[in-house]
Amino acid sequence: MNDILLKNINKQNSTDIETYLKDGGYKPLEKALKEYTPKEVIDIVQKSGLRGRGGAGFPTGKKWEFAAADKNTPRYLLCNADEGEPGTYKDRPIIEKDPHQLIEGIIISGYAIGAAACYIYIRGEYVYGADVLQKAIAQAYKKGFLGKKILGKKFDFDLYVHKGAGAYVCGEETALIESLEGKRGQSRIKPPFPVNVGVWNKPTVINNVETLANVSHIIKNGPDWFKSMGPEKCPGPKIYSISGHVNKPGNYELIMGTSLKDLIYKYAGGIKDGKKLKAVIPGGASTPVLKPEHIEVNMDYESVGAVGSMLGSGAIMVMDETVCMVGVTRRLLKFFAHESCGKCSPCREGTHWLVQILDRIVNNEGKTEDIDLMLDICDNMRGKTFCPLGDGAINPVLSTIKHFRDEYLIHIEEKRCPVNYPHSEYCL
Amino acid sequence: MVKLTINNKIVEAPDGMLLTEAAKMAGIEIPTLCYHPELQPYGGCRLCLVRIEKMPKLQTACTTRVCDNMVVTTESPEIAKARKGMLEFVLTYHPLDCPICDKGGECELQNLVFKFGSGFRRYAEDIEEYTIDTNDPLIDRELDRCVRCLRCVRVCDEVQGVTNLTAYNRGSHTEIGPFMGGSIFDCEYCGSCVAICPVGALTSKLFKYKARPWQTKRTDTICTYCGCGCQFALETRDGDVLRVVTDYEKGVNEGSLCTRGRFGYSFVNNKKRLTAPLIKTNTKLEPTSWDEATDIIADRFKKIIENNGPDAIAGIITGHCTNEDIYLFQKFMRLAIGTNNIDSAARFGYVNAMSAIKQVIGSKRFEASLDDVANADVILSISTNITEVNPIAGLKVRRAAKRGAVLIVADVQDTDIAKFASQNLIIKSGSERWFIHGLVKAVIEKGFYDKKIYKDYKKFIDNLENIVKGLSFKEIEEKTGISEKDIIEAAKAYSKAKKGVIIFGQGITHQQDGYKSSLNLLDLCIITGNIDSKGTAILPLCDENNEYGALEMGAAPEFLSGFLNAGAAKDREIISKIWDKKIPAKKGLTMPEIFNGILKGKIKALYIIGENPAGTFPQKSEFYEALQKLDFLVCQDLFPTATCELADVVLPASSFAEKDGTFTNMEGRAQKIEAAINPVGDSRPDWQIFSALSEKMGYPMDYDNADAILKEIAQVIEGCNSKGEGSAIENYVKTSVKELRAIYERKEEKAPAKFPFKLMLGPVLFHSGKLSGYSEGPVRILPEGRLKINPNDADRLGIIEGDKALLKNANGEVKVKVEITDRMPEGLLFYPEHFMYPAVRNLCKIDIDKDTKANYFKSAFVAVERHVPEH
Repeated sequence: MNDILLKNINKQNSTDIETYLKDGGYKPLEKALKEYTPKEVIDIVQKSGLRGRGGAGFPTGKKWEFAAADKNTPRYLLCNADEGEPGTYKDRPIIEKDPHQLIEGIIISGYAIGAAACYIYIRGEYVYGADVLQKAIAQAYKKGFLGKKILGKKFDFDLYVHKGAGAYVCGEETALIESLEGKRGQSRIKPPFPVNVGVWNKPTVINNVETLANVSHIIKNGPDWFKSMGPEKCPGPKIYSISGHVNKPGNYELIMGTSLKDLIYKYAGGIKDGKKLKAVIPGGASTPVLKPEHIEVNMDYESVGAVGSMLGSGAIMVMDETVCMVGVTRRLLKFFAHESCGKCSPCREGTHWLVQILDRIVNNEGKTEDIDLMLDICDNMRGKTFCPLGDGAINPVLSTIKHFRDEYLIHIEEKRCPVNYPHSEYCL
Repeated sequence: MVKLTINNKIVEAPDGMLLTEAAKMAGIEIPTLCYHPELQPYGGCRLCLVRIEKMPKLQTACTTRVCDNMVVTTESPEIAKARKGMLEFVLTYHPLDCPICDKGGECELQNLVFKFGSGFRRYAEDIEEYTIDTNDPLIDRELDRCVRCLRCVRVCDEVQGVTNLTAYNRGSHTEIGPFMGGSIFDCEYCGSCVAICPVGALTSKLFKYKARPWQTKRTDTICTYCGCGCQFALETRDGDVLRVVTDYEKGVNEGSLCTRGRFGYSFVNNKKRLTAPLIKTNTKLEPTSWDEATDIIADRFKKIIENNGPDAIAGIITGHCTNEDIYLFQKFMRLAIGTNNIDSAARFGYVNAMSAIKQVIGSKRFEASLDDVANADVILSISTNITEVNPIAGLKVRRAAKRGAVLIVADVQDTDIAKFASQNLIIKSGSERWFIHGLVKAVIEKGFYDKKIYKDYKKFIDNLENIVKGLSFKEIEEKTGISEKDIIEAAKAYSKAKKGVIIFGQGITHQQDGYKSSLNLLDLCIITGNIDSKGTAILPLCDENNEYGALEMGAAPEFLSGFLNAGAAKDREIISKIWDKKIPAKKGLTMPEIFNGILKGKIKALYIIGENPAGTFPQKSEFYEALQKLDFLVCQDLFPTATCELADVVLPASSFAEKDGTFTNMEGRAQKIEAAINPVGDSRPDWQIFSALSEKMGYPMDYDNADAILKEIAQVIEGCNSKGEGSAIENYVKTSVKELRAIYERKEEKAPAKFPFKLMLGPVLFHSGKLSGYSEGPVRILPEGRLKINPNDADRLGIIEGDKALLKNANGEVKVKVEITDRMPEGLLFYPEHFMYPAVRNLCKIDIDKDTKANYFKSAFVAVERHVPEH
């Protein structure tokens, strides 16, 4: 546990470049620049099987290959540090405690795709993280890892930190680009895809912080080492953020595909106060809720998909028996309605409508037909919104109606909260 | 072309075309709301969802581009449900107030819901409150009706390049409003946002509650304001013009309009219109019949001809009349009266440009195109605040610049178009000629000229080189404030252009030596090879819509119809043959000569159509005095003007909305206008008045309609073109050194120590001519003129925003409200020429151009102080 991506975070002065160098830091960069051509770096990453850790799981090497093949220059690399998915805080320790691991990964990636510069788009709330990154970048410039003629090679590369302004949707790559360009944070039409027409209409690769952090380790240890970890289709380490009613919430870096049961009971110390597990959201707020019966699932893209949910960002939210699922759904939908950018009508109006219905239900003013109405609203949204935000927003509704319909019925028909705990005003 | 299948029908469409458009071509309707063919794909409303084979989800047809073998289904239960669902989302908060919404009947949402929507509303939750703002002078904003398609925001950005509108807030709280906040749009008021709004969220105050769209009649016609010649349709009902609408597929303007075009129509039905002929009995103008009025005019004209000869009568016509009107007027003057004393508003400056162009290109018809502007790779825009004076031409420049064209702007003030410029050169007022000569110098001395041209016109270029040698870059910088480096950079960019376009405006044409400056610019075109090749253009802007036509029809002493030379017997012969009557040979008088003639007692009678010299000439000028000295003054106009008050007979003319005919815009493009309503009151189209008068003068010019006149015009112009002269540039480049030297003379104007500020009068965006002042729209936006002054000047004078300034010089003094703006350089003042009161024009003096007799009265040197109000 915690032996690759998070191995440095508890060291003293972990953000200092000297600490990082002492531990062999920036050696992989040297290796990449001196021993491999950019194309070879891409091949290595392709071979390693690294898939994006932002939630969609797109093969990283493939993405790089597409962008590198586009003759339009300059190309850009964007580091998506807009960690906004509720429950997710896996990138935060990397940014705040081990920035050089990220920076090194960025430089190698930039070298691979032939990028002129990289922008780290960091969520506005990570004020401290942005500060740490700025300082670390300054150190890297000083050491000659950034700027002109890096390590004496014909490779110029700049790195900037750009703070977001607080919109969840800007974690979606095209909205992130719009925001970076100074525009309203709304998704763009795809195609063209960012790998061809990205920021300032140039070929652009957008990678998650955790994805980029893996790169130096792959260069250092080779693709076979990486591939040997975890499932074949999706190898490597994965940081899981566990929150909710567990004894030891926190980040756990484990091998991809660790079982949910192990995560909750072995690593996070089990359910708090000996209560019963009621539900788990396995991959952040936009992933469908799972029931205790799904707990044996291995936490990788394929396995979680097979039980009707998604790995997402790997943010596991654990809920015990004291939680009203209607209340949880309402709370989540309020988030999505608040964050809907307003560009497309199904997401803009649908999320808002769902919140209003859920509001009524938790206030015991629901009507029997509300459940069908919500299902129909979700059906009108599913697959029809402009970007994935709308699709993500209906997941809590659909999955809680599927798994916890009885709780809705109690709220609607018996005009009370199904959970008899003192803090069941949760649902309000 | 690609082949795809839509609903089992094989459809061929250009590769990359949007699926909505391809389907439309094939006659298959896909409903859309946020989509607009003028705008970039957006994909917000999701109404156009269709099923495309091999795609996991429904796709929006408005963002999908067609490709070979695409298989599309646009009708299925799944799609019908999706559409119904999307419309339900759009309608969640939308008030169902169609009966009182002004958009009813032409609301896209209403139509869509009727066709594809549900008859039942499931949304039963609270309705949020949205901004309903009716504070703006022209545009009402009712955001409860807004569907967030952002078409208004996008058209403002993508088409108009103004970016005044924005969406603020997020999600279901998204609202549309001015970027700077507040309720007042405070923009160019082009009205594109109102026109493109699919629902009743943005509506025009002027049209509101006047009519339902099905009750109005639409008539395609051409705008009567500036020389762009924009096409639009007038919507009328019971003789009232209710609004102006456009079609993005029609006209040079492609659906765009400026505020004058969009909102400046209500002068047509203004209650102040002249509705009956008036004659002066004692000192008062009294209504009379047409018969009596024309009898009096014919009688008096005949008597004057008898006593003083035909050359004692002169006529002046506005550039707002149709070609048919103007053609008939000059024919009337030349044949029925028998004089060449005829002139038009083009004499205020546009004649300079056209005379110069004719000098260079000869008998060939001058044509330039706004498309050339939009497609240019380098645009040199000189001395014009183009986005205000000729906004649609300005739009083309913006478009070119946004597309990546190099835009070089040179003007005495910081103009709006300059924000798109690669070079914004602010030159000192009065130094325009130094600047142009500097460009010529740079092109020649740095060898930027076209090498092939040099072979052909070696002598010409060598001559020019000799002439500009005497002018140093140091002197140029001293006079213009532009460095050698900047001049060379501009000259280089323009010389290297493949599609170089020069645009010049009032700052050249309506100033001293306007003719010479125009020639100098043409020289620049010639030596850089930017004159004849495809895509290049030189375009003088004109601020009255048919000034080109006024000159082409022959409303000038020196020009016959088709720009034939009135001084040449051969040319007169061509037209005399068609007219079957001899054109008088005696040289006619230009406008300033006419006024001088009046003062000298040579001109006894003046026939003025649509011009108002008593209201526009400086009162201290001799010309103003001259008006009082006339024996007989006939005024033909839409409105009772100051000149009408002096007139013996006043004839009510019909406006552009009431007549048929053609206008020729600054491109040289003649465009048809069509009567949308019957003549207001007892007014008549101008040509009918000339026709009636000619009969009484004993030379009947009888035409069934405007079309019959147009046929005759066509015949005459064809006659001119058959003259068949060779390339006139060949002749022009043979101009002697002496003559060339003369057109490169520079006269410096110096501000007298007592009057250190230079005051300039000129057109502004919201008004031009007098018509806009009778239109509710422009008056609401800009009810009064303000003197623009630089902040440092204002500071020195102790003037703050809202103050009045006192302008003084030998001609008098005027109090005027100020607008402090850093767009004006120090020492320069600007006042909109449109406003008659306060009479700032009275400070100006009249200058007359030596070459073309153009008369200028748009500038003055003045002293400024803060006006201290009396308590």
